Amino acid sequence: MSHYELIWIAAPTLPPEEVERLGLAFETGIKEMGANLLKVERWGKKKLAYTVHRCEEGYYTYYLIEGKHTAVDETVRRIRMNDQIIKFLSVRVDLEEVNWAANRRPAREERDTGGPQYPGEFEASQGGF
Amino acid sequence: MSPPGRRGSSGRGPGGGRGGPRGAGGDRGGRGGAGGGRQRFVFRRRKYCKFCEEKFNYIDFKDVRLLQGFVPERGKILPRRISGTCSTHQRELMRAIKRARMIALLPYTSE
Repeated sequence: MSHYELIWIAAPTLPPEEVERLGLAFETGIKEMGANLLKVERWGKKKLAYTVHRCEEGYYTYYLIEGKHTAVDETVRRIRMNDQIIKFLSVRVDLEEVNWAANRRPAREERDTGGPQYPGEFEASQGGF
Repeated sequence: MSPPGRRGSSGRGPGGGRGGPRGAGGDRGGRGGAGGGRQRFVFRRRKYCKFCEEKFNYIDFKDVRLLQGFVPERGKILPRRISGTCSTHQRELMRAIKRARMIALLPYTSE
């Protein structure tokens, strides 16, 4: 059993309900293929760092998947076929490392800004730490 | 434990204090540039790997705020000769930045 992170970006022209429906379809597909969804995060509509298919924004969805690669491959194949998804990324990860990073981030954000934030916010302060 | 006579020859300041043979220039002489051929010392903070300092074992590509500190305006990855990052963490950082670029969290380049 390996762990994977899968992020996909839906076109901003879609209504939010359609993005939700799309997400639920992928999630049930992943579960049906015998994989576990350890984490599902909807980051909402975010500004992209560069234009993708003439889109300046997109709906980000993040999955942390535990299972065989076949489930991820199949999901990626479905994502590729879907015209409403403008970009995606799937990477194999180490669960311990991802959890470590996830636990570290809220603590640092609270220290810096006084509240949790989500990735993809570009108005960040300089310095990195 | 170098002998007192050799300390003055290194040129790193008056080793003997006020009564030393280089007392004419003194400490203040260096600041005004009146030393004539003496090397100018600019205060620089010592570089260190910030990831080693905070004991990072994984650099997350989703942590855009962290990565942005290593991506200047132009969008290129900050070299380790400037940031001071160790080679292991620079490699991890490079991977994270490239992944963040792929998913449009960071730009490839600025316009």
